Amino acid sequence: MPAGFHHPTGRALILILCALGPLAACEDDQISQYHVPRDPIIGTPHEGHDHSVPPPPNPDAAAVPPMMAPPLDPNVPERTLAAMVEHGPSVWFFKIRGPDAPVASQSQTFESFLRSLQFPPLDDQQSIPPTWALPDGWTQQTGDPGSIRFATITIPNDDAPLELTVVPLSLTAGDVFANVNRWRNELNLEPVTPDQLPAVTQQIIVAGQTITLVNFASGDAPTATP
Amino acid sequence: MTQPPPIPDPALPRPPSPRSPFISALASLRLTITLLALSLPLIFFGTLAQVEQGIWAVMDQYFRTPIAWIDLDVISALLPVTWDWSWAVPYPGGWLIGGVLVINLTAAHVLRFRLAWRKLGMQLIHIGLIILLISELITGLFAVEGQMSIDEGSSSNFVEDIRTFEFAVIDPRHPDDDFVTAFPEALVRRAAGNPAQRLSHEDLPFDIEVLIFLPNSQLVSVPWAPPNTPNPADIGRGLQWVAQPRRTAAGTDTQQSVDVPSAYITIHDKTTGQPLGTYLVSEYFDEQSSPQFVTIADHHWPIALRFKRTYKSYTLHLLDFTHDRYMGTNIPMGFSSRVRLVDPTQGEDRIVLIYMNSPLRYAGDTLFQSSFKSDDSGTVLQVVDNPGWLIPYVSCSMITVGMIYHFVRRLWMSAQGGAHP
Repeated sequence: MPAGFHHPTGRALILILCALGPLAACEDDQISQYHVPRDPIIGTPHEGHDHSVPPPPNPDAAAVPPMMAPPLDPNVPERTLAAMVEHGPSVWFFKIRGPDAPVASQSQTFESFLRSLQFPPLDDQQSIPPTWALPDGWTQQTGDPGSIRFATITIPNDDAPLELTVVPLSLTAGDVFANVNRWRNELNLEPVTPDQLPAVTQQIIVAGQTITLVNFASGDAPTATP
Repeated sequence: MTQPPPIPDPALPRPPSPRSPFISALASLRLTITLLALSLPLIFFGTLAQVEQGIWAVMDQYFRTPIAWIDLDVISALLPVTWDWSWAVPYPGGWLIGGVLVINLTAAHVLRFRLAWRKLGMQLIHIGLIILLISELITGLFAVEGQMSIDEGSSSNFVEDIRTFEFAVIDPRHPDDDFVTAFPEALVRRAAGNPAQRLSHEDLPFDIEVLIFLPNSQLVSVPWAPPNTPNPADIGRGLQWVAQPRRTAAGTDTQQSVDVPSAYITIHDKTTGQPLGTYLVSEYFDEQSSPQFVTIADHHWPIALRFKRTYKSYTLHLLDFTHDRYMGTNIPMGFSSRVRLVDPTQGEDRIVLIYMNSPLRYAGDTLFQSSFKSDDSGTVLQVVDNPGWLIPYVSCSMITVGMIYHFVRRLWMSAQGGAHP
């Protein structure tokens, strides 16, 4: 037996080691189970703190940040042409929202614009922006530093020019289901279920990337969505 | 005939009191010095390890543990030679050294305590030190710290600890709420690459085999993955994405980043033993908006690899987030969150403004304005639940008062004629 074991200090140390030994087994390896309320969404308090009528839940708000969509005149029928494509660590959003007829007239050109997209190879997963060819008459402004807009493309129109916004966001914002319903919500359209997505979206392959397109109008009949 | 007891000679030193040698050893100054000496290499190697590891991984491996395992790799960073040793040597960890130090200091005080004004300063310092050590133990064991991210117009009732993760399965058979079974990080790591050690629970109709675990990862969309990149997934979002390993974040990184784990898992039906598919699960995927399901017996069980969650009794609803910048620049001047706090258990429903240096303290939690989402779409609050948060203030105050008392008393004694106090 080592001499140190007989020494009071040595014995003290060994005893303390034995006493604290079980702490080594304190690793957090217990499976936990718990109940949590579903959708803990609460609404903005009304004046006078009347919370009896909660606003409708916004199921995709946590996943998809707002895209600075300006409010339009509710009496004017609106249309949204939008597309999203994942590229490396980002999701790129392209969107035109405006009065129904002028926006609808741009749907073919919008698709042509999307088909011109080029995606440079990723450099160490850095977000390298795609490139595109502008249709005739379209002009482009680069987004301001600090703004989430990468670019704004102006589309000539008889009344007021339309805007195509280009916004890259992180992958967490890239859920098609959540975005589709967010765009529908902006036009006061009923949300769709995941099973209904193929019926309300279109997918095109451009340069090896799958682009998801939508074309919604606020006047779309509910039956238009399965 | 009995001998009369010997008369003590006042000129001789007082004989030692009949105390156990074991207790004496516990209280010995030699033990104190030994412990302090042992702590030096621990701090040294714990600091060196942060070249490769994140600060919280180092905290767990070196300091908040009874036994630290020192990677010999960290020594190679000091030497001009490199080697491929992947050995680790055991060493007394922070909790062991600190724990013995608490016992040592306490024993010393119990044995040598004398109620005297001249000792008051030193006693305050030592008691403050003991309390400080205990507070660290309480923090390490019981403190829960995490982030609450809320988008404007949204609500949240949980915090995420971005230093650790869990694999969660939600039971769809509960119509009124989510019944969560969460496997902690330690179990997932243990099961990784070990087919015999599946994640299993009696309430789940399936077992989970962790094929590959990546502590830090990046996702590459399948068309952009390098040629011949293996993709074990045959179901779910792994059909669109491939996970690749990334170096784990180090404490010395200039831009502090967060490890984002991913894993390939195979689900096995408990009844038939048949595999039901191999999924890619990742913290990158948003489980709220695009959950992945295991479908078994007409039930869809959401699964997710996510940062460890702690649910709260209260819910915060972000009414408004403000991010002010200095004019003409992108330099943040300040940010604030106007939130509605709702806690049905306490009948609480009020609006609170949280801003820098003005946290909300509620239900034992402190909620600091910590950060904001990249596009200002929401807020990030740091939520700290530390039952021992007040103790360091008390202990440091005691140490300060003790030092001042000791210093002033010595100064006064010196002024009185150089006598030692």
